[in-house]
Amino acid sequence: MSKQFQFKLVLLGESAVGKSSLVLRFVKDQFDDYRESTIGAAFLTQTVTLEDQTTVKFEIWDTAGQERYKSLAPMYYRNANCAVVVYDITQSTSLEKAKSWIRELQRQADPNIVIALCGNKLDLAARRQVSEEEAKKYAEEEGLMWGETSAKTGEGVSDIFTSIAKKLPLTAPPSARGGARAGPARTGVDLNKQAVAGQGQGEQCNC
Amino acid sequence: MSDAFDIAQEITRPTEDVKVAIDARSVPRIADEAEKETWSGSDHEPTVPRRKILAVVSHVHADGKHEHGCVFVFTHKPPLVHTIPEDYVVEHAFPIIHGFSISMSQPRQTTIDLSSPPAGSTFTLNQPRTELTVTIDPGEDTPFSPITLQTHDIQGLRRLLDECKRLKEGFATETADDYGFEPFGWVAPYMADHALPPLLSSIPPDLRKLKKPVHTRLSTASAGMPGDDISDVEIIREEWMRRKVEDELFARGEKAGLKIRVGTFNVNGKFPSQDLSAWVRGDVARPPAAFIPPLKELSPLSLGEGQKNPIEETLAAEDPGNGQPPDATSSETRSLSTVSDATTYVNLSVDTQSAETAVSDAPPDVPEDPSDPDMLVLGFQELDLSTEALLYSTKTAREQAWCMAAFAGLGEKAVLYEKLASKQLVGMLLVIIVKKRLRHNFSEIRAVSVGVGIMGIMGNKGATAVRLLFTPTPSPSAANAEPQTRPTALTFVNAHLAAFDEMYEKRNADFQELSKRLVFEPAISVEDQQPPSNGSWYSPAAAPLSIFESDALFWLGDLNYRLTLPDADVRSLVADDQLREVNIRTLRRFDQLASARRTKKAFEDFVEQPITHLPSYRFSAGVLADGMGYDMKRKPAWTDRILHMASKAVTVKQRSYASHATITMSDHRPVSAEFDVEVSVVGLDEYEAFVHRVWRDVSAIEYIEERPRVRVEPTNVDFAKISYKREVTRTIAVVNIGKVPCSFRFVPQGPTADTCPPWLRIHPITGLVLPGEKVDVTLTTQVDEALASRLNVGQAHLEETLVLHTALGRDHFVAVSAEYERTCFATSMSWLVRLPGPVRELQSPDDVLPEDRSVNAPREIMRLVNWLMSNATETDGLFLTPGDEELIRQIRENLDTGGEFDFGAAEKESKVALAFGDTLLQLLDSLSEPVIPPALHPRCAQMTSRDEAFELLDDLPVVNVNVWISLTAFLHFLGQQEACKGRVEQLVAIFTPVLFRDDLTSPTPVSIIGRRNFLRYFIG
Repeated sequence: MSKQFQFKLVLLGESAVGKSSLVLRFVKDQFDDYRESTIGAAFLTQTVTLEDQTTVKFEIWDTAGQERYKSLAPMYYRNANCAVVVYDITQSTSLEKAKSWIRELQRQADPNIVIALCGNKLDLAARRQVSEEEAKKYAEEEGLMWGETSAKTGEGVSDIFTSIAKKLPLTAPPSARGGARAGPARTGVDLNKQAVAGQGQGEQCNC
Repeated sequence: MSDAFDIAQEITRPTEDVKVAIDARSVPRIADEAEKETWSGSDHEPTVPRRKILAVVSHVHADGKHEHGCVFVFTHKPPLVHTIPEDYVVEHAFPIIHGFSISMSQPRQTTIDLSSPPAGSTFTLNQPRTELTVTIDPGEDTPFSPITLQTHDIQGLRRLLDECKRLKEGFATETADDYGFEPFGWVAPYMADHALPPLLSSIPPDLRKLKKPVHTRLSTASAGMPGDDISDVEIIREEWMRRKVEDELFARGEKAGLKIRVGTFNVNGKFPSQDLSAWVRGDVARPPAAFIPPLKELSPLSLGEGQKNPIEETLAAEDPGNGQPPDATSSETRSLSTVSDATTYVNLSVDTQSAETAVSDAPPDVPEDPSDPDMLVLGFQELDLSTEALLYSTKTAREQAWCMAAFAGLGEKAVLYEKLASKQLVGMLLVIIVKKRLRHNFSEIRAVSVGVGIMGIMGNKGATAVRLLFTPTPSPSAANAEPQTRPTALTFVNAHLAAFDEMYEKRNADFQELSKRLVFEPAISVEDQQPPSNGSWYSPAAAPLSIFESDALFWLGDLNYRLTLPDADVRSLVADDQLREVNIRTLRRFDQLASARRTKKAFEDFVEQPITHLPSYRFSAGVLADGMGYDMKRKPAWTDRILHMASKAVTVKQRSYASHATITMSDHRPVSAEFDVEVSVVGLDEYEAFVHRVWRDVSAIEYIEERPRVRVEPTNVDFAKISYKREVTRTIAVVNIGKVPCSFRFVPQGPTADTCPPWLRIHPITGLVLPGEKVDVTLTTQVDEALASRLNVGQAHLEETLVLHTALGRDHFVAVSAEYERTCFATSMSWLVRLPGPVRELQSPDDVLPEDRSVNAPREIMRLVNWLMSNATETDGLFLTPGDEELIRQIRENLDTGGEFDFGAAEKESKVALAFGDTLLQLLDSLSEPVIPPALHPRCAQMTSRDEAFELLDDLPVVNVNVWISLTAFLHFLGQQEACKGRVEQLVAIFTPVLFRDDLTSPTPVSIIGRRNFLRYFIG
């Protein structure tokens, strides 16, 4: 019997690192060379099916990276089960910005939040400013998942979301009805127990 | 050429019936004489026979028994330039009485006019061969002379003669004792002397007419195509005189106040068994309880609708007091009087006597408080539910019992009051109680009742009405002396309209029917009739009066309008005392009466103060009730209402509007409203002199040969920038440089155009300017939501030419221009996301981005939410307290220009935060389509879980989803802040009507509770 779980995922990161492109690739498997900056946030959903036929539905909150909408972030990451913090491997300043988002999440968000650090624009590796080692080391220190992606080619995109799905606490108690908190959509005991939050953190995902 | 019958029907009042109407014309030889009589002083003496209409018109008296006829001769107005062809006035009116006779004959010369057909007359086209001569002899007892006319309509004439014969025979069977009214009083309004200035009539103009802007009553005209200047002059002049009287006479003079307390109570056939003081006195000292059980046990026999209690009935017949303390009212019973059903008028001199006696016998040493009403107007419905009450004349026992209960409710103050008049029809009773010392300030009391119930005539539904004159300072000497100051006509209607939720249209029809049929027949005594003389034979006192021919009209009663929301919604909304205010506001939008007024189906010109009290219906003892005491079988509703309308001659200020929960004896709660009515104290002599003086200058302007000449300056008005909700005013002067008074009006450029562009308001749009004087006309730009939504997507440069037409003169042109500043308000979200930048930078509507390149959400909404997240999450009262208008304007400007919000040091002040909150609500509310499109409301209301609710978002446009998600995330965040603890429900209640704005044209609204639940899934 397949189980469906529903989780709230928020994307954070500096402006123009490719958050919306990453979501577009993940949700519609498309890429758009020209994209307007996100205003506030965009909301999309996508379902991932794991090997054991468990399905995980992501409610994705793709936030604006622009400074002018920075104040909105807390209302989007509040109650998020997982966060993808994106940086651009060709811009070292974007990793600094990612680090500051991670600090904010660790301070303000749900303590059980699953955070993945994601280096995007792998297709531009020739202009790389952030080395794999540097980012990976930081992720290990902070206990985060880490991976590199290219929204343009699609490389690593579905892997990072699938890895997050696997790391999510699929035994989480049923969500309180009516609340904005996400959780398993259907109640019942999950016999195929997956890794609970906190376990396996710092592992590199399969990309 | 219009049909004679249609014209006759157009000219006569709706209370009359045109039986036959035929074309006729004056006999050339004697026509000159006839014309001179009517149109003396006119230079435009006709040289050709004028078209006339001969008609038999009948009027059935309100008693339904007496029909009286009158032969009317309508004649064409003097043939002046531009006069429209179908413009007729009453020339003669001959009552069909004993001495009246009408005969026809065939003259020898039948071809008299064929030899010289009048040029241009359409009448000659139908010139028949045979002309018949009609001679009307009004009879020796009348002041009128016989007249002779010609017609070719033999068939019509035969029918006309037959009709005259019938009506004359009908009249012959009557004697003067048959009726206590003037049989031909209804003719009076047609015979008003046209040479007299308007405004001198003692009949106030129809309030409905006054509520319509003057220019809508003028003839059709456009640039270069004047309409009927003559009739326009009359209307403009009358309006000008009325304004002059208001501004220069009434405004300056002394004022007199009249405090009127109006109450309505559907008593469900019960006898009074409780203290009515809360209703009649408005006792505020006593805290109102939500529900108090009846004071006495009700007999099981009295339970249920429509059942009468025989025990109560018997008791009441024996003791009309029925448990009321008799001491306070015993002296009053003598002065209680009833306007009997047989007559519609009561001469109250007998009452006056006894009242005076009562006063002199026991002078009241009860002090008056300024808060005591001068006048109590109480309307009861369902006084008697017995079936006999419908068939036989009503007993007065119930009326007496309720009057005594009302006086008892006045407590120690009762001795200050007396009953002035009352009118009952089956279960409906209207009682007027006044302060004794003001008794002589009221006169000419008339009453009427009309049934619109079973078969359209029975009195189970209908209305009773009383009209009276209030004279601020009557002659101190005698009660019957002529009032010295100008009286004010007050009319009160107590109505009971059709019941049940689904009878909405019937209620509207009842209102229309009552508006038409509630006519006060004249108050006369036949002996007092002045000897007939032409002109005064029909005095205005003898005219039947519409309820709208008043200075102020109050309409109260059980109007039976219901709420359209589902039953469970209504109960749940009224039950929540935490959200009482916002819930009542929500309920008001689903009130059938509000809808009838909005769609102009009923009560459109009336004013009703917004209701803040709980529904007054329905509480039945002994049946299943909800927690608030409302009967489970009937949806709670505001059935009991009090509305009013008034002319500018009086000022009506409503002081209260409340229901009284402590009075629980009926299935309705009584409702009351208190009004401060202010009238000008102007002597009749002074008033008439003023009107004559004003009239002297403007009376004959339409007949003066000299052309009016005006100068208009400037003729070019540039408003520069105009924007949403921001008025800019410019003034142009109309200077009379001629020798005669000039009346002017703005007219459209062409027959299908508007007089004035929608973004501009002209005031006044018609006017009159005396020689050497100047009138300032203000031009004000106004861009409301509806207009902004059109202008936003159009060209920014606006220009128009206004055409000012001077009656009988020429047209003047005023060029107006403006640059419209676009706004993000009053647009659609799908358009906002296609803006390449701030809306103000959009040069042309074609510059918007293609749909596939639109952004994910409107910047303007997100900027507001972002600011609120940064600065306002701790603000007390956010979204609950209205923001400062000037701050809101600044914020709006920043949104439109893309400028940074800069409030300097004030940024952290709560008034700025409140203004931002209000701006967000206003912006959302101004969207042409709400965030959740109305088509999805029914499904939203059915969602039973958060997951279902999220699924439904898939059916929304992407933009709407993004806005919805961000707004609800913000509200959710807000609800968890200290400042908003426990405020989630308030936020839900406030945002639901904005995010799910209703389509008010839908007859079955979607559950509000269901929509609130849907929103709660996201922010709770």
